[in-house]
Amino acid sequence: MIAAIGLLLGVGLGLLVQPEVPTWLQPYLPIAVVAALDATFGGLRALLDGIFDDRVFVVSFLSNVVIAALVVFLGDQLGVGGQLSTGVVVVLGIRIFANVAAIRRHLLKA
Amino acid sequence: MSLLTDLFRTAAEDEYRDAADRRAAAATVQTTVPANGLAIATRSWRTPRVRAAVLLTVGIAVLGLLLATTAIQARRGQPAAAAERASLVERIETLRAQAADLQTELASAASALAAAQDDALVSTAEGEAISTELDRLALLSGASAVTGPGLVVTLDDAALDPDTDALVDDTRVQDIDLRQLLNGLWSAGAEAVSVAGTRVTARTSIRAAGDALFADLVPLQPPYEVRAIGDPETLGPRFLDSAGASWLEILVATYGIGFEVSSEATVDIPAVTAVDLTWASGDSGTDQ
Repeated sequence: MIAAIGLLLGVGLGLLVQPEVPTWLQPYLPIAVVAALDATFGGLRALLDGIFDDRVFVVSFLSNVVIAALVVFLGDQLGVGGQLSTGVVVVLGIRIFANVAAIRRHLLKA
Repeated sequence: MSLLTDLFRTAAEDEYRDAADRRAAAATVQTTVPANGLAIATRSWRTPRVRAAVLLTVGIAVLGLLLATTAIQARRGQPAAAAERASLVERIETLRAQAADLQTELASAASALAAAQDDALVSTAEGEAISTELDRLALLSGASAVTGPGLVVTLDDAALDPDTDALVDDTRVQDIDLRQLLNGLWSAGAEAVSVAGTRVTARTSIRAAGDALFADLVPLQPPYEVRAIGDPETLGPRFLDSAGASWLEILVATYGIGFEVSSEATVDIPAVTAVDLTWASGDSGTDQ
């Protein structure tokens, strides 16, 4: 419920305002979104496990986004940006899958 | 594999578990040392449950904002690429039109030059002789447009039969086929030849690049129409006897290449687009 409201709020705001992303930030935005997805699903899973902690959520959300973007930035500087993005997406993708599977077990008991 | 297993195991961040354990420990301490418990009972911003809900909502809202922004950004990139392509196409078309304009200008300047040359030479007997010689050389070098009786030969790619497993390349007219045809026409006594509107002289190149044929770097489209002007009595029969014609007969029989010859009373052949001289020079190794 909370999640749905928050998501609708954010998407609505994004579509309404259509913020201009600075050019230097554009390559890192998609990877930051994947990192944010990972942190959010982690938080949702913790919520369902009954061990959600706000401080941990905020810290993991921010650090995930910043570190993912930073790793890709570093890769770009070293000439392996594409490969490192793939690596980051694979790692975060596996985590997202594992967390969504846990959420599914909680909600559907299956 | 331990790396992947690790990844799965730590998918739920351990910090949540640690924080929960710490809270549980603190709660145990609080129950043993009871403080003013009344203050906590009121539901305020300070209450961990409410704060958690608000922060989670804000976090997910930020995620939604990021998602929407990225989606918009990704969609914006597509029209930009299309616009870039359109502008390139436009530039190509403008340059093509410019080239065509310059071509026309060149042709009119060349005919003005020829007229002026004739005017200057026609006054004296000596000039008359030079003029005749010039006309003969212009015909041979392709500098003048020619009209006269001749042949029109059409070559076409074979109709591709999907049932046969013949190579696609074999069913196409190749550059060597076109060259054989041209050599056959020259050997039959053709005085002027053109391929799809491009005058063929001793200096014209017929080449293949990829799947396309080029005559003097002008791309050609099938069917390829080759025109030749020559003696109406002998050009046709001599061409059909030539090695070039028999080469094409083999192509027709083997690959089904289209090959038609027709005799025409008047055939128009254009002049070459530019006449320039190339000569060798002996001194100091400069190449011309």
